[in-house]
Amino acid sequence: MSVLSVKNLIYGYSKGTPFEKGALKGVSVDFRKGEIVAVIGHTGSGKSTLLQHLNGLLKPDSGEVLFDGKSIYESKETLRKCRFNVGLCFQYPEQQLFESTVYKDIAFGPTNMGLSAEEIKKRVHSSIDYVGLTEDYLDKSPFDLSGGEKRRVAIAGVISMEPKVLILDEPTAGLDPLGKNNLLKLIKDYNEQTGNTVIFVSHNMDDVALVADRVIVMNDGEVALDGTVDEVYSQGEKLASLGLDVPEITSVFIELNNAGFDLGHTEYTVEGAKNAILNSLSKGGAV
Amino acid sequence: MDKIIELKNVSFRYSDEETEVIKNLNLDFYEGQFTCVLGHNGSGKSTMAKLINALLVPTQGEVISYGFKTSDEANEIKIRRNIGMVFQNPDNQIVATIVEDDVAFGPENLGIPREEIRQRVDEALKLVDMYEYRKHEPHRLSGGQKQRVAIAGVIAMKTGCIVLDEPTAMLDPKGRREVMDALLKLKNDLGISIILVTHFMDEAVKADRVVVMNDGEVCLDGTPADVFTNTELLKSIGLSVPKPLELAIELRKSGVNIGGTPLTAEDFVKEYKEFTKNRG
Repeated sequence: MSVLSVKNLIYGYSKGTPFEKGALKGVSVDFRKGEIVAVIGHTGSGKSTLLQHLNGLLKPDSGEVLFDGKSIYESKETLRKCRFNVGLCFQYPEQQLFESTVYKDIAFGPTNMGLSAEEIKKRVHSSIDYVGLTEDYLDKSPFDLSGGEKRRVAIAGVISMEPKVLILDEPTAGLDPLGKNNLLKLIKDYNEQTGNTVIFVSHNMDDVALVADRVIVMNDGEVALDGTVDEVYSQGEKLASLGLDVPEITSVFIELNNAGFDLGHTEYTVEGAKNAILNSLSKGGAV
Repeated sequence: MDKIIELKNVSFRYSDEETEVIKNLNLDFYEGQFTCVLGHNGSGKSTMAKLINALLVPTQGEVISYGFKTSDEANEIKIRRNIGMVFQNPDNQIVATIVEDDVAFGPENLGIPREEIRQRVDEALKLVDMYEYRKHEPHRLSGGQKQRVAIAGVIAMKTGCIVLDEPTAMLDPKGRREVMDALLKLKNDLGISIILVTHFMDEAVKADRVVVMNDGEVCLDGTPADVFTNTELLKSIGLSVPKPLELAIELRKSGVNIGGTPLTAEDFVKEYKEFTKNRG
């Protein structure tokens, strides 16, 4: 069932100036309930522009954005409903922390939703827990935290609104491998425990392979590929032609196949690659 | 190779913190070498980078850069004429409204004659492949282009060594490749020493030497092949290992003895060919 969908979205930046640029050229996508979708594409491919349409931050020049089957621009109420249900976390969200304590910062969204004080408190506590920080962080100033901690607080601020669709624009950018893995786990946990949809942008194909159910590849303002991780990643050469880095293991496979070893379709994980190689060796004789 | 930077028993603590970020560190850097410094957040690698060009001075021990002690304030300018620095965020280090003016900023401050500045700026921009953008406005460039302008700004000062603190962390894969290509070119063509602080293993693979920091200390130091062989240790301190090598190690566990230390896809294919040939 689709929870959020866009139909024939067209959007251009700097209209009427010499810098006019078509950012989205007729994009249609259905986001289904409960799936983790990764949106990838090189810089300028339109992926951030697409995300900003999903909760009405940008209004399309033409085309529709539907939340729960209804156009979000139908009335003030539908737009408001969309804003509360589609939580958007920008790139470097830690730059948007502004309150004096972590508690107040996380409570900002739920407070604006008009929830009761008790419910707000409950949500602040559960979301700080979600992002893997302890409750003694709540009284600290967000500005005393490390970069990785700040980012998690910022994400907690969005999760506290319990959005039906959580959108994260490059959530792992600038994090070290450990911080990155923690954040990917958070995405997976939020999805599994709430059954809500998560959409995230990433440049890292290995990260995408770890958590995503579905991958959408954007190129030049259009959807170039859309499918499961397997379906998309097995097209290693096409990905490379779209200016994307294929996962390291995929390039190993492309090179092995080019060198005349027939190992079948491209693998993208160490585990999968190991099995494929063992398989081919055992067919060819004893290892 | 000549030693250009020497850290002797260096410890460092930020004034408002109790714990030492750098702990009794001994480390040397050499002329013409491309060194990658790896480590997770908080391992002290960025602090180390700032100690090298006297942005920070050690609380204990001493740092000698190009023969000058960093703790002596009178040496600051001399050190920075030899060591240029590029930071993570491209938007924080561009000062002018036209690309070539930005690159000229450093040499202007050194009091270099106008004609020579013109020449240096053009050369620097050509080296990082940004010459055709010399009249552009920096804020309209991509992240990778901005970082290359920042690097050109350092080259125009003709420093012998460039220290870069996670210059590709905010870039997309294309931007990262552009910056890495520019750095390798500087090292190979001009013999500039490069010290690159990064999280990315695929960048470290291309270096002459890899230094891994953990908890304010050096835990591994050697060629990429030497360092990455320590897979378990690297994983235990929150770092990853190049995937082709991980695959080779996993295969060896299953009795497929792929030799060498394949750090890239190409290496792996070479070793795999070798393996199948020997197997007959």
